[in-house]
Amino acid sequence: MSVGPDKRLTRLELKFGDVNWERATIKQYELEKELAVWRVFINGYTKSGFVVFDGDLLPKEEVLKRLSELKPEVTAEKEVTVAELVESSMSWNNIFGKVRG
Amino acid sequence: MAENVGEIPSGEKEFAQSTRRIRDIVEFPEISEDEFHALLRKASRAYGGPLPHRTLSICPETRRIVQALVWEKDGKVWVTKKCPEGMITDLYYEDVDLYYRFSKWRWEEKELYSANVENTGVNCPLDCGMCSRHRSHTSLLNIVLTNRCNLACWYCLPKDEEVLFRIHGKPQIVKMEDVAKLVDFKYSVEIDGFSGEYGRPEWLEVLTFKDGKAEWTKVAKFLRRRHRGKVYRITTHTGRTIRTTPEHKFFVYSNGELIKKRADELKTGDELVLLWNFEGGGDKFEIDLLEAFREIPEEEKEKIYVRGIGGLDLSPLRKEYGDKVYGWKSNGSMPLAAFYKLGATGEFRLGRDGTPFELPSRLEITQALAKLIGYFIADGHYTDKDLRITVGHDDVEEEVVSAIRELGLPYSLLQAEGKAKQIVIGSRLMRLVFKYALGIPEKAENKRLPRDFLRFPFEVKVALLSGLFNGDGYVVRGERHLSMGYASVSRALIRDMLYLLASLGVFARVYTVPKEKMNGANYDLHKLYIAGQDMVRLVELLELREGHRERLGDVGERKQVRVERVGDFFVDVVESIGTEDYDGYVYDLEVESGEHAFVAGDGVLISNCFFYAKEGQPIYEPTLEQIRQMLRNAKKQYPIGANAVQLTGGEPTLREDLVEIIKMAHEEGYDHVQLNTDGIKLAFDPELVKRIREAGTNTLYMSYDGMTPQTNWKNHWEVPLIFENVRKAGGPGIVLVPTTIRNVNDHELGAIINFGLNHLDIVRGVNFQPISQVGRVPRRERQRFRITIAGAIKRIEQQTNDVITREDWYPIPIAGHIARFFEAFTGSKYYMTSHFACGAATYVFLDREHKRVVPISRFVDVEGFVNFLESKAEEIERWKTMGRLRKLKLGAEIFLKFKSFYDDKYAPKGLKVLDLIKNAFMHGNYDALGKFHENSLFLGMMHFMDEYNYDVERVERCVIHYAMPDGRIVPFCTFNVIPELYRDKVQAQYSYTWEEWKALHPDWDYKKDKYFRTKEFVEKMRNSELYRKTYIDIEDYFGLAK
Repeated sequence: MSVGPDKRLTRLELKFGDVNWERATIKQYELEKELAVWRVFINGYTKSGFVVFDGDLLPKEEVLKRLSELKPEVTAEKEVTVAELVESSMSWNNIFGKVRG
Repeated sequence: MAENVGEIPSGEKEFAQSTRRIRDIVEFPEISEDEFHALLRKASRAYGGPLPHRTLSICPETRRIVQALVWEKDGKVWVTKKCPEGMITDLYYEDVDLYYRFSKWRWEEKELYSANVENTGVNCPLDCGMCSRHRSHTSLLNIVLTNRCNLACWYCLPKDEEVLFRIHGKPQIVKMEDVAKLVDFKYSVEIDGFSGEYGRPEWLEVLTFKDGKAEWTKVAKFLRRRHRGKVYRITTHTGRTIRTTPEHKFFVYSNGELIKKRADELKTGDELVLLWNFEGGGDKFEIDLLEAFREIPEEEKEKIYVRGIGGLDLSPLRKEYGDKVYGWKSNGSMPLAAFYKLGATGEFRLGRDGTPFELPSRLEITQALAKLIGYFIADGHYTDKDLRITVGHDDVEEEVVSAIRELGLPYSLLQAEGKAKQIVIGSRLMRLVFKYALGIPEKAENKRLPRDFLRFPFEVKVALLSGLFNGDGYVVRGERHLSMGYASVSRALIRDMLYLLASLGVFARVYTVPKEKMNGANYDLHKLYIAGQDMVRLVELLELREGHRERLGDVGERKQVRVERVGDFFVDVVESIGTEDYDGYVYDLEVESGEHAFVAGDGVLISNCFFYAKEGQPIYEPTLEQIRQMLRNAKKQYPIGANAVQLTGGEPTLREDLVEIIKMAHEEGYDHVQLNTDGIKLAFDPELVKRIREAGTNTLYMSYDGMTPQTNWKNHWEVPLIFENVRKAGGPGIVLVPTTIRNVNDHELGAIINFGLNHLDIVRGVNFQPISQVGRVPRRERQRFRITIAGAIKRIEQQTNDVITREDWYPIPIAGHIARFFEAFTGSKYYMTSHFACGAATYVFLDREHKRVVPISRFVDVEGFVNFLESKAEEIERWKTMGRLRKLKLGAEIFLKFKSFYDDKYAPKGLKVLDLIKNAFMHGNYDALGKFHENSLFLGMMHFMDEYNYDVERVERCVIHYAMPDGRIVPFCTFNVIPELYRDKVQAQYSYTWEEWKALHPDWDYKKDKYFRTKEFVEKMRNSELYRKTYIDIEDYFGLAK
């Protein structure tokens, strides 16, 4: 398989100094196309976001370089495995809002 | 029903024929940027707001998310957006009244309160997963079980596209159609809707890419089919071009790896792989003039004499020629025309009547002759008697004359007043050699190198190039720039020169000056130039005339050309992509080499097509564990989980563990399991049908594009067998799925419904899917093929003689209003809360006694009943907390009231429709609904979007989702329309490499996955009772025959 559940990914929490919605969508699309990128979100309104990626395929420096136009600042960094990422995506782990009677 | 007699139905041919009969084209209106912005400013924003209405969309080429306008003009609804690539308009809905009628039933409530990604949806559709903004739960979950396919895509080259072949060991650049003339097309085949023929030439080779080396490989199959539509012209940064059908795959260099992309998926900036260098040529090259002159006009054959025939027996010719043969014998020469009749072989001399000049019948292409040829191509032309070369420089004249003298050719010099000097080579024989043996065409715009130029020895090639560059070449010297160039109005000549230079390991670029930029020019001018170290190499090789050498001067230190080399190839960027109309045969190859690639056009590396197109490509097949997780993920959506799952592919029946997967879906709580299949494997494996039915498959969601072999080339001939096997197995139910395309099969919609009614015992429904034109599709093509739900509904009305009318259809979200009632009474949740423009549905009942088809709306006031339910919504919401008596009272009130919306007078006879409906309401479970379905035919429409009509407002309400093994659940129209972010990307992340797959499945043979429909099978089916019962001996419920 191309990827195993124990594959370690890097998660960067980001703040952006120079971003708007349009530029956020353009950059998010560019990054999201990369096979190495598992999740990415750039919120042009809150000027924050995150990216989860395979550092072996795409080094952190390259990720930041691709985002450099938006003046990114890494506010947190951690590792997560593919299995953890998938588990955290499950519906039962992400319930919000009202309970239907 | 149309028939093909005596041949396998050519789906492609008939497709071409049917699109030739263009019945109507939708003219997309123009709207200026100013008008667009003005409308946008006053557009409504809220869901269901009046037109014009503002939304967001995606740009086909740049993939930007942009504002879009949904607006009305001339009774139709359009969608327009302003993209970096220009204003794009498409047809959104063909009937504005229907649009507004349907919008009344929009579902406004959010029904999903769980997510699978942290993205908020502010960047929709880039935030998919589900994001927290998504409004609808999963009504139908799709899981891709495999990317393996039992059909294969057939992509090809136009007839006049050229490939460097080796024919019987001789390298030549030849047009596909010219090679086709030599191929015995003994085999017929149908693949993925395309039908054609192929041959197995033992004598044909092409260049392929093997670990970076350009190597010759045998052509296993040479294929052809008819194509009417677009071909793509791809031009690279260095000026190389190639033309292919839209589906043809190119090798694209990506992150150090070669991947494949279709022509219509290529974007500017994509890196293609092109030929730089290859080995060719021999020690000596001779032309057999006796063979070559078989092509010359007959009158010339009478005037050419074969000399040195002393040893031949001419007696067989006596009967035809009489005593002349004695004269020939004594003179030792005879006319070529007569010589051919002897069938003699050997070495002779050839001359022309009345002249002493002779040539050996095996003419060696020497350096002198090659140089002369070069000069002729550069500056020469044919007259009807001789060859002429225009010379503008003394050193050129000297060199040409020297070559002529070395060859012993007769010549003279001609200089008219005020005109350039011409050297006249006064030999008609030599003229025939140039024209027929060397194959150098007339006229500047047609010029080519000699057809066998790649077989010339190294020194001869160099001499040829010397003649070319000395004749028409030039030196460009700037402050830092120095290059050698050659200009011609013949693009074919430039192609030949690219290959000639590649055979010498010299890199060149091409630049085209359009004729519009040159005053009085009739043709584009193509400039080939060589710079850097390649120029140094070229200068060292060639015998350049003094004028060039002076201008070149001291070439100094030159740099390596700035392209990335990969062995014998180099990486070149796509510069432009164009399309042109095409109607005719297209061709392709299957090659023996494992790389499944060959060089075509100006040296572009493209994929070998056809049967095993995906061989070697990664295989995506999620594990059982991953599938279970995907099922669970959608099932546990909050507060309404998925109840229905569609197993899809590729072709899901290729999975050996399919039965296990179907059972798993039921284990995970899914009521409804359907299989999205072409049905072909089920046609030939009745045991499999039984097993999947027993495992719990409820529905076969089966492609069915029309009533004839022409419109339904995918499985027309297999359907009778599929039906028979399903009947024997007692299920599953079948839903026919016609992809509906204007001008292609939109004239058969009524007939398809009729067909479904005739097989009501096994056909549960017909779900029309108006075409989704994913990929880059020119406006003209979209105007020809685009059809919307409203357009399909209108056609059904016409084609059922007003039995099923526009008013009989309802938008999908109306089900949400009924579902709330269902949930209250039964606890079951069957909401479908899609955007009102996404789909439509109705039910029709069959009154068999009177052979009448009755849509449900004729005897049930559906809208009235739903309005009533809405008025009771508050009470229904309180159902769970009500006391028993109150529940009974409300239930009775609703059922009684329902009767008032039901008119028995118009209901189909012989069917206890009211009991069916009551049963469905009372029990509300899957079985009860199933009973309802057994006696009615569900008619549905689902319009999946493409880049051109994309509406984010529809995406965020989508109810048909794909689960992915990375934990995300994604709406259908983002999964497929933005595959580079979703479908293709995640499949690539989770695929097995070819080697891994083969290691896991050592007995697996890729070729066994593939289905080949034979001529014998078609004939057998055509003449069978089963075929008759399926298609011919059926009732005409709508009076279609009239």
